[in-house]
Amino acid sequence: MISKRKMELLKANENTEKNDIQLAKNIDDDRLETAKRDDIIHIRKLIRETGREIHKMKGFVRFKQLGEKVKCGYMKPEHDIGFMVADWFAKRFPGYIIVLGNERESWVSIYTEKGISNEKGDPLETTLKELKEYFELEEEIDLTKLWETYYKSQYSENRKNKELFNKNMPKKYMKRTKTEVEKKFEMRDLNDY
Amino acid sequence: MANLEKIAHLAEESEFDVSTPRKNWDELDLNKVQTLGAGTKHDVCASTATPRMVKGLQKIGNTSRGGICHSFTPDGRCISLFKTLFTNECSHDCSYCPNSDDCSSKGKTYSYTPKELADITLSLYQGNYVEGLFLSSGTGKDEDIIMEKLIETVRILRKEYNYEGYIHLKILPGTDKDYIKRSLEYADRLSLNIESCSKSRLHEVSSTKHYDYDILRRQRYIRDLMEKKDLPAGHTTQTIVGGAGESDKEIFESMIREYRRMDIKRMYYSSFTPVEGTGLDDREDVPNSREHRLYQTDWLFRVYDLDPSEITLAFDEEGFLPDGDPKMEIAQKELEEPVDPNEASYDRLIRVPGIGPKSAGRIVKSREEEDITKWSELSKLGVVLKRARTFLKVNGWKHSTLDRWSS
Repeated sequence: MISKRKMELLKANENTEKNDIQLAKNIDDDRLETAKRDDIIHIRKLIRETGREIHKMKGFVRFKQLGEKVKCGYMKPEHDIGFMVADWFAKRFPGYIIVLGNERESWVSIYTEKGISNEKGDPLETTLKELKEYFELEEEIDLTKLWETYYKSQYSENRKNKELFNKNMPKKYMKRTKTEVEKKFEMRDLNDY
Repeated sequence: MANLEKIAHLAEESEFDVSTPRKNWDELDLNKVQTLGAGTKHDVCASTATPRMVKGLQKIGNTSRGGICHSFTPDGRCISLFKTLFTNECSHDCSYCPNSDDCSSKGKTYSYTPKELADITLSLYQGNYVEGLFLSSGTGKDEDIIMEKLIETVRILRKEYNYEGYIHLKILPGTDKDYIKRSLEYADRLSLNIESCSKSRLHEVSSTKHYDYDILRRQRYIRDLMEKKDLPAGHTTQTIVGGAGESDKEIFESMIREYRRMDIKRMYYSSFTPVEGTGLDDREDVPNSREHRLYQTDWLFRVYDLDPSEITLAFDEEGFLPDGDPKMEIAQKELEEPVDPNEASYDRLIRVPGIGPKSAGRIVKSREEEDITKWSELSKLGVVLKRARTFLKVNGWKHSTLDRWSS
């Protein structure tokens, strides 16, 4: 069988079929890596896609701090990676309740001395409403202006390279994380023409 | 959701003292953030990869082995760190630098306080805007006084806030050795920019910075101190490309010296851009392609492990890299006959344009099972046939018959 992590990534891909998983059970990582067969190359591609989405979400999700204990961010992944991302953030910020989600669903995770505890939830709004029963979720500190100022300061006009930008920060991920500042900047940029 | 109740209780019970500053940044002067941020935009290292593993629960943050980009500027470059100057006041007169004491277009000078800067960094980190801090600075009136403040900033982060995210700290030219020692306590990566490829070239652009004393000697301090105290992401440097009229070959030679003698982890290249009001403001912009070609030779040396004498084949008679992939230039001069992917060694395979370390590795593994008999198989193993085809033969069949490699 391919490694546990790779199997996890394969299963999480929206486009993975039963026969892909069956095939992945019968090959090892070496075979996966060096295969010339189309069906195995396809599995490689599925794994890479899921891995890429996780990586982009780790980068582009933004947190609002709600009260002392809750960090909340918008995320609408294409693949079934909610917990992989939420648990990863939980380990980065021990003791905080990490809430990631969208209009449809949410993922809640916390890391304590007891390890990871997590829960799949209803729409983000509903989950936050429920958490309000336990915690004061007071008005968060808005970092948008600070971030926007810094973001603009890093840009060199004479190096403008939209193609590279689109490749590294594809619209689909900006949408799936509701990235505001970069999008706004991009729009302003388009209006220049 | 019964489990949500459990999670809420866990959070209530958790006794972590996460004493994070909770600041409203309304009072912050955004012109300062803008100016001190822009002061670092020619410093291009965006790496946040570090092998340092973070354990335990009483902390904020951790690191990632591969590094993470949190955004990209419209020029397509990764933003991974809160990259800022501590102050843009500087006693040096470098004629390429917007922060130079001599720059007539330089506006107001600003400075953070260590606490303020630590707080901003932590806020951005908590919001997942960045992987950490990249802290650079002008030298102020005295580099040691500023260096002390840089160290105080990262000390607050590490010791008072239990921050375990990534830190890249600059060592200012001329800094006392003791500060370097203390910097090693907190940083993942240290860097000191050589800025120029040699003593005489630096002299052309700065009358106050001394190549041997201010820069190379401090790099040796870092190198030697690193042996006693681990620096997880190593030390790095950067040079300007084309600021002083130097050739690519001169830069390449300094690259080899830096890797071999200073034991640096990475060298970065930044194409010269004229800044209004500086001594070099009448010079032409150096195209990005020039720095790109240098990165490619750097890659051939560092990742492909090619000997410098071999890479030298890519340079023209004037010591510049022609506008094409250096690996292609070298292959055209060096590879005598088409390479058979079933026979060639790994070292031979990676010298073929269109084949990289990854696809070469795949070829070697795959042919243990069965021979490669079709061109399409190569492309399935990741070979870029468009570039590789003329240099290969499959089943004795090769693509170029006339005039070595012309096609």
